[in-house]
Amino acid sequence: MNPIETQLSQGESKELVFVSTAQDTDRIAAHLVALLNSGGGTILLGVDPKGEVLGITSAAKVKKQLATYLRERVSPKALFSVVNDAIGNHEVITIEVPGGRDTPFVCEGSVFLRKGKNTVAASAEDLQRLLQEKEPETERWERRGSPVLEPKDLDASEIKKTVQAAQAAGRFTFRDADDTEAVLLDLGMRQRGLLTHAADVCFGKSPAQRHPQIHLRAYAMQSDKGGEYIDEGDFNGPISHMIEEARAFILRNSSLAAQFLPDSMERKNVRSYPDPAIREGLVNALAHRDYGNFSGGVSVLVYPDRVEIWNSGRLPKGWKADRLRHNHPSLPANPDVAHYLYIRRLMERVGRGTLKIIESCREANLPAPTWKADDDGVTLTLHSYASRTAPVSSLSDRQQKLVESLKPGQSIRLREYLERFAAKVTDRQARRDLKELESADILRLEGKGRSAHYVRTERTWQP
Amino acid sequence: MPAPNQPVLMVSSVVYGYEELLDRIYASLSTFGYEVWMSHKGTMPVYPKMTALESCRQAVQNCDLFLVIILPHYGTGKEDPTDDSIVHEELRIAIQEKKPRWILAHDHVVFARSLLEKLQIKKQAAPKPEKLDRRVLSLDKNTVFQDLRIIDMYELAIRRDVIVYRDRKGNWVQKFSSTEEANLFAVSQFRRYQEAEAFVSENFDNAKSVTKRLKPKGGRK
Repeated sequence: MNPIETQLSQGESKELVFVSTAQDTDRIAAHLVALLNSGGGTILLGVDPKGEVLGITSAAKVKKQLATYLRERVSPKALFSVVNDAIGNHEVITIEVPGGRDTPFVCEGSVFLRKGKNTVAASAEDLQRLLQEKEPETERWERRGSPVLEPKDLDASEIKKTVQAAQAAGRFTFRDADDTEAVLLDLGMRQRGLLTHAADVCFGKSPAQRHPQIHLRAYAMQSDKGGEYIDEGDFNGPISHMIEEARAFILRNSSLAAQFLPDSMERKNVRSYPDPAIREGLVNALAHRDYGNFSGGVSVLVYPDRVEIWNSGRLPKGWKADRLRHNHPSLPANPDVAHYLYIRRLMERVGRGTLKIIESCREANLPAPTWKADDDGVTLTLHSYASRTAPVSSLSDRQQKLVESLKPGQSIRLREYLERFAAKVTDRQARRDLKELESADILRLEGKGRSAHYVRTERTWQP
Repeated sequence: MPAPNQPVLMVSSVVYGYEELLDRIYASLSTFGYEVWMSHKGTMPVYPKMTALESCRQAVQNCDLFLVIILPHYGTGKEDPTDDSIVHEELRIAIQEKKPRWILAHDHVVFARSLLEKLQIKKQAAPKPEKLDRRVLSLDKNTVFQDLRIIDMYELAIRRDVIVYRDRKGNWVQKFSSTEEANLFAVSQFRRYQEAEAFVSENFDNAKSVTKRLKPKGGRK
């Protein structure tokens, strides 16, 4: 079941909207604004309110027209992605909407909100509440005007490439694509006459001169336990350059893994980590990091058996790292930077980065990536092929018996685990057992609610 | 279609570069039940036999409430570039017509005025520096502060023309830095106004005549 099918099975909710056709553009715009104002979510076009998939004819063409229409209607400029997806034999259009920070978002002179499964026009009371809740928040760092940043400090070729990428993919319409000042104004990167910090991060030739925390530092370590480093990098410049340089650093310092093709004696050298996972990991770190913190940053540590990408951002309040492994609403910490990454095509779609990392590791037959979040920041770890056979420490007897009884691909439900292996422990402990095996990438959770089941992965386990 | 008894609120400001702020203010005020006249949204009344400037002037006379946003951009002039801008003229008429008015001024405007207010010049022979008259200064083209006449507009808003301080009425100007601050001011002020109007309707026997006084000239002609 792909992420879209998983969402579909959950039915309409505050975060999920089904729309039968793409014709009712005003209504779609209202749903979009409502989600931006209400914490984010997804709109599926080509699905009726009961969840039956009807499909959209000529979805690719419709998608492009719709994206342009929506971008012109919604104010202020907002980050959202419009993409084609397949469900069975049908093509649908998915609009991923992160929770907006610049609320209230408006469309055709009105403010909309999600209330339960419904999109409604905000009442005067709703609107006042929405604004008063925002009051304590100071203007975010990326939106502030920089008194020392001047147009000559920006990389004009990078601005041009961004315009070209956005236009080619139909991801943004500029009022005057040849006028740099108008482009920056359209992107919200010129505020009240000043260039913003976001303009510096995205287009600055050397943003770390003004903001030392913008550096991306990378180290390649000699052993899995750290010790001496054998290579280092310090990257600074427009964000797209930093991504490319950090990616090259990871590839340069990762060993190749040998794999035998099925039914063949031919040996094939493959990269230790799939490229989409590296890219998404770096893009995520640069989009979600805390730029305002002078001691913050992004670092990349390449060990023989893993890559760790750390950023100084924080997960949204109340979230735990495990939530990143499943469908979750997107709440970008730096919407202007994230918007740039999206239109520059460095981010394929909004709010799916972590799922894409998991999927590409799975396709490459690698252990599932892991995330750790604490007060210092968020760390993504990509595990290499070599770590697949690394021992897993301290499984309980009942966990060991479960693992030995399942072949890769076979699955088990919680109830069955309780009956066969965990009769003497509480329901809560049994859930914890399965969660631990999922974290160790020995089991993989599929489905939700009553259809939830755990599938044995390929990962070998040695006591 | 606005309801027939909606109070008319005219919003006067430059547009280019401030569209997002104006979109939000328009949506907020519309939600609160006002008929909003705003050139950015194309809702200003057009009087076919009048020039654009005359239309704007007439609109100020016909609105019930007036909100002006003084930004670091001055906007277009009437006919000649040396003429005062349309926003400047609209503010002048709103004051002449004694319209209930609310004024928002960007931080750069307040800062620029404070800075130039204290500017002095030392002439070689003079015993002490003299205060510099702002009118002798000129400003090169820049993106931060477009025209020194913005300060004149601000001083008009705070009623510097009224010599006796206690006679300065309707001179409260709210400073703002971010879009959020401006929007919050607009929402807070006009939500309260609406509440006051509701209070009048619910609690006064002569509510009709009180409400009528809010709109002495009528909104739509």
